[in-house]
Amino acid sequence: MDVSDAKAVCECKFLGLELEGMTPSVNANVVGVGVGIKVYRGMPTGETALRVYVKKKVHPLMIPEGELIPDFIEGVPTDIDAIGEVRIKWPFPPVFQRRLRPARPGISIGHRDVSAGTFGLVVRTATEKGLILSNNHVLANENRGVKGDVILQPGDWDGGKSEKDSIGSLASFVPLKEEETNQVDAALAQPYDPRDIAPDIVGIGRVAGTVEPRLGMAVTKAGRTTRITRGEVTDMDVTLLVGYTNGSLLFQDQMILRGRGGFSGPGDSGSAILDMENRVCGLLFAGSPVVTIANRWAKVASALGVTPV
Amino acid sequence: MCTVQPGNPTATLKARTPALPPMPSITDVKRRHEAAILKVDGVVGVGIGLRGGRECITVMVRTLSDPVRAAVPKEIEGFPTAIEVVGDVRARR
Repeated sequence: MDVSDAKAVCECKFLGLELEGMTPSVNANVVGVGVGIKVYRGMPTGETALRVYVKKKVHPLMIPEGELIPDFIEGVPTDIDAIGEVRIKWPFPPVFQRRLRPARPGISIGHRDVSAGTFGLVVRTATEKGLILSNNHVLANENRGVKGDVILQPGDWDGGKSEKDSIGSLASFVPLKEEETNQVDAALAQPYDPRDIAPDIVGIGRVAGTVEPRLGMAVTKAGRTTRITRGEVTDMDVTLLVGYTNGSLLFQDQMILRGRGGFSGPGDSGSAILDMENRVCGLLFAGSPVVTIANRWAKVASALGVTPV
Repeated sequence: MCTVQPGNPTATLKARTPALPPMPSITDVKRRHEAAILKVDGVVGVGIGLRGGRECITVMVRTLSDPVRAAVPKEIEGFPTAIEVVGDVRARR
């Protein structure tokens, strides 16, 4: 009998795979079967063997009857290899995509029906001391959200769940208009507990006021997807069409940012754009593989009546 | 909103006369022409950018095409233009 037939028998007896003429069964300790060179006392013997990968090696006397892996299967020697439990590689996500309390600007956030965007800034209004700023399409789901809707941190894409990751609720938004030109894509969320948010931007620090953007100005941002990036303002006073789920909307008075290797990616929406002295000058909301588009901070501030904290 | 104006013939004529009207700024020129440029198939945006240290009117296009090349002159009222392929601009959610 050849090795591959013996291996098929092993797969049937230990892993429960179908094989004609045999009843499949499962051995709880076996995680895989393969073919290799028999190793005896740490030395390869040169003999072909069936490798039986197990979670852990157990003394033969401790193994329940019938579960012991025989020394030979169909005439082929077996070799027990303890490789432990096999799991898919699931790297620990970076802070930008994790749950964080207090949550800080730069990390994943979103309305429960939205994939995910970025927590842009902590801002205050005439009546509220600490609100979460991001885009309408991140916190208000492109006008479909209603005041009081649950906001998740992290956002849905990053595994955020309403039961445990709700950080606040939608407070207000600047409606996106199909018939007129738009200036900003912005919305505010109110944290359920003010202690759940802090104003320091991840990797950048505390905001130091605001500044008017200028052509050629060096800028930076912290975002859920591309994290900390640097670039410059290459175009201003831009009028352009931006694709949303329901079609294209026209925006006026926008700025274009570019950086080496790209300034942003999907999920970075809502990031605050700052100059190198931590002064806010814009709010990221759109982009293409080549460019990043941001609202001017002055327009966001006046539309929502907010000041960065 | 605004209409296309073919050049500005008076600008060159009056350049030698003493009673000179103020030169329009690049912002004024861009605002006057943007609606017409945005109507060109494939154009997604119009802005003002710095290219090689010089301010110019930037025309953002999805892909470069002959109608775009034909519709955007090298200069508009004396200000240089730059056509730039940016691809699809989408909300970054």
